[in-house]
Parts: sequence; C-alpha cells; structure tokens
Amino acid sequence: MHRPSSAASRTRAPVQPGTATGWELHGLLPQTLSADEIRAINNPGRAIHEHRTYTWNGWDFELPPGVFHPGETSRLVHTRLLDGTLPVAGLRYAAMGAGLGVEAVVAGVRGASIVYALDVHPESVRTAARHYERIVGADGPTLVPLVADVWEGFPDGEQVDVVTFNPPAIELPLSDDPEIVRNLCLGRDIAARFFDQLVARDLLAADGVVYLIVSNTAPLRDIVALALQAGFDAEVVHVEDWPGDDVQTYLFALRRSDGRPGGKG
Amino acid sequence: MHEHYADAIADPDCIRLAPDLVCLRFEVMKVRSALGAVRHLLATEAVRPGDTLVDSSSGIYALALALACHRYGMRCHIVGSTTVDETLRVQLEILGATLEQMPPSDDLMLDQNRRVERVGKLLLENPGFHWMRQYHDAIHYVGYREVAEQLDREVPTGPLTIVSGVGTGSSTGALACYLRAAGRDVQLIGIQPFGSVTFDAGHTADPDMIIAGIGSSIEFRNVRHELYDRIHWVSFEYARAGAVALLRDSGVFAGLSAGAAYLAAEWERGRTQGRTVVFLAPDTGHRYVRAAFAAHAHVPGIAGLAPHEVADSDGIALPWSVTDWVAPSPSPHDAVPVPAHAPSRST
Repeated sequence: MHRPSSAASRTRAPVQPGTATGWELHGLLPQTLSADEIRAINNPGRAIHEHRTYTWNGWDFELPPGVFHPGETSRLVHTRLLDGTLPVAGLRYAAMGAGLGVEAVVAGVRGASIVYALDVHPESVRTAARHYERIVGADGPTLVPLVADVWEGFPDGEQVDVVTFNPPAIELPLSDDPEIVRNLCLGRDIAARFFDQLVARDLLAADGVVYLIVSNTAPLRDIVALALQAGFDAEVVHVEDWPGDDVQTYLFALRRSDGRPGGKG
Repeated sequence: MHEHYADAIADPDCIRLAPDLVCLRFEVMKVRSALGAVRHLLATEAVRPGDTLVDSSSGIYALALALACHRYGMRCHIVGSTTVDETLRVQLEILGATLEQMPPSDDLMLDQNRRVERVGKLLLENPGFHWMRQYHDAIHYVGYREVAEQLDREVPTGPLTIVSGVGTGSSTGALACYLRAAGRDVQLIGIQPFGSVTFDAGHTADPDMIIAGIGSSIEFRNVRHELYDRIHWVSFEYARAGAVALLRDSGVFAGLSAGAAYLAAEWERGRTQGRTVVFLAPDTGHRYVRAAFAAHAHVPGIAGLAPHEVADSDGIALPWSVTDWVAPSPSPHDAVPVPAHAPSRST
C-alpha cells in the first residue's frame, strides 16, 4: 500500500496527541497530498470483485465480492478498539461503514452494551452479522445490523455513545469501478452528511465520542473543519507517520464542544 | 414504433411556442430516468433480470420504476406512504409491483428515515433486492442523455437556456452535463418552491401549498449545485398563474412545475438575446385540475408579474424571487461519476 516517495517531503511534522485541540489543532494539520502522490499510494485493483479471506487477531473472516478488505488504516482502529484505547465496554457502539465486521466483532468481545453495524452495502452488513454471530456468539451483546446511507436508516429515537468512522473521503476519481468509488472516493461529502445527520437527529449521547480516522490523502483539514463547525471539539488520539512517504493518518476523538446536541456553531 | 408503453410516455415532445421559446413536454418525465437507470443496471450487471428493484416513494417515481421494471422483466417493490393515491396504487398493483404503505408523520425528514430504515431491512433479508436511491444515485442521469441528444437535434444551433424545476436534480443536471459535454453553450436555470432546503430556502414557507416534486426537505446528492446559473423560487400562486397561462397561450395542459417553468422562462427570455429558452413540462395537468385550473377565471395573467431580484437565498421573499447562483465551494459531488456512456435502448 505505502511506497517510498520520490518527491522531497513537503509535509510538516505530525501533530502529536496533546499538542492542540479545536481550531488550533486544525491549523496545525497537514494539507492534502498532491493528486500524483495520492494516486501512487492508492492503486486499487479489481480484487474486490472476488471472494477473499482476511485473518486478524486469530480470527478468520470471509469476504464475498463487494465487501471491502481492511487496509492499514482500518487495522489502526481495530487494534485500538481491542487494546482499549477506544473504550466501548458498557457503551452503545456504532461501526459506521461496518464492512466485513471486524470493528463490530471487537466491540462485541470488548463488552459494548449494544453494537450497531451500519453500511450502505447490504452484503457487507450480512457479512458483518455472520462474523459477529460466529465469533462473538449469542451470549455477546446484541448486534443490530443496519443497511443505512450514513445515518439515514438508523432508528429514530435511539442514541449511541461511541462511533468509529473511517470515511472513504479521497476526492480523486481513482477508478470507474463503483465498488471502489464507494469504498475510497466519496469525498468530503460523506463526512458532511455524517455530521449533519448526527447533529440534526441528535443521535450521539451528550457525553458521546466519535472516533474519526482520516489521512492526508483525503481533505483532512476540511473534514476536521466540518466536525468543528458541527459543534464538536477535536483532539488527536493517535497519529501514524507511515515510513517511506508523506502520508499521515490521524485518529481523532470528537466530542460535543457545548455538551449539547444540535449546535452548528 | 415504440417497443413498450413506458418508452412512449418517456419520450418528450419539443413544441416551439415562439422563435426563441421551446417547451419540452413530457407525459411522465421520471419514466425516462427510471428506464435509463434500470437499463444501465442491467448492462453493467449490477442486477440480473428477475431481481427486485426497491425504493421509497409515494409519488410518480413509484409508477416510473414499476413501468421500467415491467419493461425490462424486473420485480418492483415500493415503500410508500399511506397517502399514496388510488390512481397510483391501482396501477402499481396491476403492473405487478408490490407496495408497502407506512403511516406518514408531520416531519418529512423522519418519514424519509423511517422508509429508508424499512428499505434497509428488506435489503438485509433479500439478497436479490437492489436499492435504487433515486435521490442520490447518479444512474438516474443516464436516461436523460437521449433527451439531451433529441434537444440537440431539434435545436441544433445557438446557445440554450434550460429552465426547469430542480426536484431530484437528475433531469436538469443531466441535460446540462450532456449538452455541455457535446459542446453546447447551456445556461441552467433551476426552479424551487419556497421552503425547499436544496438551495437554502428552508427558512421560508409557502402559505398555499408546496409544488410537488420540485423541492425537498432533505438534501439530494443528485443535485449538483455547481451546474446552475440562476435559481427562481416560485410560489404556488404564481406557478398556478404560469400553468393557466401556458394552457391559455399554447394549449399545453401541464402541471404546476411546468407553470412555474413557463413563468420563469418568459422572464428569462426578456433578459437574453440570441438564446433559445427551453423549459420543461414534466407531467400533464390532470392531477392539478381542482387545485390549480378550476378557478382559472380568477387567476391573473403573467405579463405583469415580476420577481424580487435578490443577492442570495437569505433575501428571498414570496411570491417570486430570483438570484444568480454561485456554488459556495467546490462541490464534493464532482467526485460522483455520472455514467457518461449509457447503453442504447436496444441493449
């Protein structure tokens, strides 16, 4: 996935956790990489149309055609859910973009009170539910599998405490393949809808947290700005400065800056 | 010769009302969109014959999709409201489409969410179901490529000004995209009702009624804001005046959306020289007889009507406002590919 950059590095040093929050943090974040750099790093093939397997943490996953194979960014989230950096025990958890269901499985194993697995791709939701049933089992927390367009389709009147979101927010047409576009290239629009709907429908508990993971292959600063404008504060939980290129991947914790839903300040 | 009734009612008629004014008159415009979308799904093998196409709709899209499914040997399932009228319900039943009716509420956003939630459950339980997402999936542009080509043939030279209700954004967006891609100079004029969020008029309201189908209470991703040059907001009262005037002036019996488009098109004609103004009439007037046409003797002519010309959507006011539209920022919708190469009707 990552390969050495031939260009001289133009990206500033990564912003470490605890350095800044909110708009101050926004000002320190790196700019989006050039189109050439993004294309060099993301070169999707057509494997998504085949049946594949994935093994992580000793668990085996089956991926039918159309279900996204996790990359290194996804594994950052999986690992930090598993090691408790992103706490879910006893909390209502939503995996936004559930894919093959690793996050849902980890949240079930870690003792979330309820697990929502949301994806716009029906086969992904079915796959996540199958993996959850096999690995977590009937004794684990309840899984609610939902085919949803971001939050559109999430039940009215329910709230969650923790959300993980790895938006496919690259803004280059890396492929004509709609399956690849859906999994990588929807642009900042998908983040805008995520925050707009979350706030407008009051879906996040007042002390809830969104864990957002974004790299500078996407419009990183603009997406963080969308979160701040929607009434969230942002802090860095983890930053990954991948060796050999200028990609930086940030895992943010977003909490309501006013402690109240609905603000779009 | 048409191969199916759906093809016949999807094809528009170009009617020249004046040397520089053309009415693109449809019987049911959305059939053109649904046919193109279904054909595209089959050609790209996203669905197979016999699969079920599902969407939430309580209006004309439900009929359009049912007809497209009938045309191409697909099943059709509609999640609608209990407000679906008998004319539509009966046609759906006879065409073989299945209809689930859910009770409506006062909150249109929650209504939509509830229907999407239901569609999501159907998709989970039925692997052969495909979600059409008429508001968001760019495949709904594809069918209008043929309309753009027809217009290009019928009005072969000179710059065009296209005037129409925006609705889901597919018809106006597609015509602008395909004609501009063909090298035509196209000015795109969108029409909205007061209260629609699509172009930031959610803070307004029309005391009479909302003109069905041209506005929205939720964001539609098929509306590509950067394509539009000017937006008109037209009240029911003025759209009705336009619809009556259109029938009186030309004999075209069309709906309120067409009436608003005719009103705006006449105003646009007065501002431009050397352009052909083309306005869309998406449906016939039959649905609006009682609400719009019956009191025609008391409906004013449109010659004396003029809009408030405002700087942006903050300043709009009833009964008619217009503003030059500048998209606030580069639209992320640019990343949404519009299928450019639609398969031909015969495939």
